[in-house]
Amino acid sequence: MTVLHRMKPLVCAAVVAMTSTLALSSSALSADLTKFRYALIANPGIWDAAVINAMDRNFFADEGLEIELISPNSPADGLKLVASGGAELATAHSTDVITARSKDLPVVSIGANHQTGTTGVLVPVETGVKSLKDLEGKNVGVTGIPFNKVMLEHSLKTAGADLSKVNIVTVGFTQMPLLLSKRIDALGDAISWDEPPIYNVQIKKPADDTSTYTYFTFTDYGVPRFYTFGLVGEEEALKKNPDLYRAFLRAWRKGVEWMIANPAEAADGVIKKVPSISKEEGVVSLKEIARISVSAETQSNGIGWQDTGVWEKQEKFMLENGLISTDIDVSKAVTNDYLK
Amino acid sequence: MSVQGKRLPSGISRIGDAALPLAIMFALLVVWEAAVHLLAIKSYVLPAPTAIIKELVASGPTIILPQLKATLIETLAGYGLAVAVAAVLSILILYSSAFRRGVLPLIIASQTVPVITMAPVLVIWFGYNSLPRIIITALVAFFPLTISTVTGLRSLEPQFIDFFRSLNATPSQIFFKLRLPVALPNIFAGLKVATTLAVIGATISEWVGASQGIGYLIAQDTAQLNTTRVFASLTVLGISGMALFGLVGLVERLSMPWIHARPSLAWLRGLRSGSRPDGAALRSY
Repeated sequence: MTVLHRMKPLVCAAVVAMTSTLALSSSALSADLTKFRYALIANPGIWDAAVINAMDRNFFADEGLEIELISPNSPADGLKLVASGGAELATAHSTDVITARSKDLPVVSIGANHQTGTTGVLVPVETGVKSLKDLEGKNVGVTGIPFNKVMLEHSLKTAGADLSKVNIVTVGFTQMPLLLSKRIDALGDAISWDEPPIYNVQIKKPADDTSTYTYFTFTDYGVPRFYTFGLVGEEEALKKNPDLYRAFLRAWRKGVEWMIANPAEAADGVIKKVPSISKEEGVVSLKEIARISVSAETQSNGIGWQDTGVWEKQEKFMLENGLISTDIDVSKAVTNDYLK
Repeated sequence: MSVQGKRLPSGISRIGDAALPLAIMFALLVVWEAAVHLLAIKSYVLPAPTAIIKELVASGPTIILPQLKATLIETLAGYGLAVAVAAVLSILILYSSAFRRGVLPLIIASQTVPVITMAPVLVIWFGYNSLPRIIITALVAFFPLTISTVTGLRSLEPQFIDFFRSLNATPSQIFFKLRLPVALPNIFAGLKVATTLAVIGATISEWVGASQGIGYLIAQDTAQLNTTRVFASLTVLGISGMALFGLVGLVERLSMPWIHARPSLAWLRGLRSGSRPDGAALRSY
């Protein structure tokens, strides 16, 4: 007891010394890193697996970056944040980048995670729908995202369906409960890596069961290929700090590559941050995301590469369908310079 | 409003009452406009008031007003439902102590649930028609109306009820000739608060499961980065809310002429605050 009593000041001193050393080294480490504000597309989700895991695995820290994640209220808010200097980079859909450019927002896509958008129609097999034309007389729920509705209508017309006979209803983001409660017959703007596993789990089937639903991808019905989950910066900021963005992209690429190689572990990394995500759904989603994260262009030029021609076709499609009212200069909206 | 102890004519007084908020609003708009230009704020962050007015002129008649119609229908229907529910609840709370003890805490607890989170559930229950939106509007609006109505109905001093009873008044006479008139200022205060809440309720309800309405338009324009039109829509919503508020205020004035038209009978307010009217005033009542 006496010895312990005598040792008490020594122990205290040791603890204080260790704590101070740790605090100092931690602040020194933190001081060495450059803060980088990155706006996600919404609240963190399985789709952010590459970035979240890259952070956890210190890929960004290794490049000298300390990432601060921002969750905007809407995808458009992320672009506004970047354009007004509130964030260095935002995740954005190519549609939103083109719309933003048409409204004079100086935003530039410097890389794209999903090499092709897989938005489409999900119909449970029991509805008997075998083609998009069979949706005549059915209730098709859509989120209300303007580009998605245009793609749906375009695909229906391509499939020979009479648009006036398809009841397209805007249901916001309540699509899945409405489908499960049979208030609607089909999801009019599902995403191949999102709703299918959720639907399967809800009907007590394996998340990767593809026999429970029929899926019609819009790009199979005349909609031009488009990029999603792009990384978008601001023109002047990009010019001022090119090395900062190159560093981010190097770490991000490592994150995407790691996610592609390790979908189950990548799902765990996200679930650690967002415990409400189901592992079963998450792994299926990530396998699909991994599939669309690569393309012929990425195989030649690396993850994130964007073909300007793809953007030009999408811009033309948006202009023809009234989603933008003015032509934009695609060469200013897209660059691969920071991936090099 | 008086000058050296003399009351100004009521017309001049009313002009003065209206001029002050208008002057404040004008000053705020000037500051806003100047700030946007001096600080070079981009329109997608904060559009200038003049840009919003231009947008109102350009898209008001063709885009915003047609959407406003749907929102106003939901607002009025939801408001009507809220009034009906509040009336029934208030009567039950007033006359049934068991209901008051058992249900009032639940009503209060229900207000801690953000109504927007109920919207998807209501859409699933009632489908993608206007009913879920009307219910959401009513859910947002009914609570202050219920509380102010109950407060008004229960604010009467017991001696006035005793007085009516001494004149052999029936319970319905006590309610309609004493309790209700005395409660009207509270009821109208609740009705006015509920108008603005109904507009908000109808708008947020359109963010989930709607294909039309100002809320739907705002959601679409937000996604399309049409910030100026979002502000133009908000302006139209604000004007609509003020108009509904003013309409209820007008009904209030017409419903309570003994308070608004005859200042000498303002003692009626005293019935609710506990002060006793003098005998002459009571006789004139």
